[in-house]
Amino acid sequence: MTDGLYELFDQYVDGLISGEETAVCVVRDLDLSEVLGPLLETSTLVVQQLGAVKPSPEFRQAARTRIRSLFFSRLARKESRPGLLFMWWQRRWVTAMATALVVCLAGMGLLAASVDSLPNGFFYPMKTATEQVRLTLALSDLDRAQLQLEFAECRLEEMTTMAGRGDSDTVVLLAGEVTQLIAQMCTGVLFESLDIDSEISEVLAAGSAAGSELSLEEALNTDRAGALQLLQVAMDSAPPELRPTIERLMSALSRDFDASISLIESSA
Amino acid sequence: MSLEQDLVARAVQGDADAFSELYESNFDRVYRYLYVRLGNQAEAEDLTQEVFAKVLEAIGSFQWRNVPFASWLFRIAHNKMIDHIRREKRIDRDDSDETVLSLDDPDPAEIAEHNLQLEKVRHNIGRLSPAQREVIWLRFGAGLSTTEVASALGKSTGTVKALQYNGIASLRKLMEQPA
Repeated sequence: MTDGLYELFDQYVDGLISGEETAVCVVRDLDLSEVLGPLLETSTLVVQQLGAVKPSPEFRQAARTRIRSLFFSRLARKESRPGLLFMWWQRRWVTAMATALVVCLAGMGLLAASVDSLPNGFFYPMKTATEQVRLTLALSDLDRAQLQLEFAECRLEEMTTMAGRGDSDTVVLLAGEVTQLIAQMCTGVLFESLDIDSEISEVLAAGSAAGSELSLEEALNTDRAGALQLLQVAMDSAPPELRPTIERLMSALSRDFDASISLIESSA
Repeated sequence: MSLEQDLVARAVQGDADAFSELYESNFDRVYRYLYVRLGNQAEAEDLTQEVFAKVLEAIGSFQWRNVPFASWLFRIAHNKMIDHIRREKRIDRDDSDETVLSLDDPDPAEIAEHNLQLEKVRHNIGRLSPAQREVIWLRFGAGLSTTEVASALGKSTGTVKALQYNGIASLRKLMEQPA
């Protein structure tokens, strides 16, 4: 009997939690309403009081942005640190596949054609695929970091060119890719001792918020500031061989973002 | 495979959309659970973020094995809260601030009345036995099903139903007592 009562009460609580009216519940079992009625009244009060507790919209938005950037930051770190077995497997096969691809493409003259292609160009996916292959084949962590900086510089050049064509959407996307490449470098093995996850999260979060809330110029300035902040932190603990490339990218960042902003403004 | 199992399986594989869906569907109830336990908005906000950061870190190792995702999630929330309480070295009850809650009706008098009532409910739930109040927090605060509560607490569903019934009966008596 007691178990039956617990079970029945539990069913009513289920109903209450899912928004059912208590009165409806009680009427269904008139014999038990004297016992269950008062308890359901208390349960209703508890559901109403506790159910009204909600996070504020501001906190909800801020938390969402933070978890999203954490997600991508971890993803970037994971991708930049594959397991040893996977690395061995990947390098072995990707080397073979990449070699075959490069030989085929070089034979057709396509590889050369893809080098100067722009984001809206036919050969652009080939260019980015080649970059990925180069990153995978990088012989050392230093080489990989050098390549990431080199590709970031390449995105900057493309950004300026697309700004000259008035394609502001692509400019924003490329600015974001520059930051992503720098963030990926910072989360690599080379900077393992550098605890900058929170800074990366903030920079990526500011970048993702920029697209929806700020003007194009403000959004680009936010991306630039974030990218420069990460490079500055990386510079302090970077190996000496990498520092000239970081310095060069920092100059390119200032120059190309200014140029892009002014080109977009003049084309508007 | 249920919809939730599929979602969790995709999130475990690093699918951003799946993780986002799990996050959105659980965010409010994790916050609510922590708020009603701690009675402090700032602490509940900090811990909610910590819980989801932990989920993100650990989801790769989550294995279904008949443990509902919500049970796993609320174990994390519970452990985070216990760690927090230990850090703060305080008793887990009646430590509320005077936070204005997000109610649909922003009438200040109504909010004040609600806050008073909520504090009375929280205070009296805090006076129940530890097992009873944990069931009430998870069931009524977080909105977990009996099966999920049972799995989160490592008890049988029968025990959870009994604790729930007796907990509410005791709470009614406590609520009837003059303040």
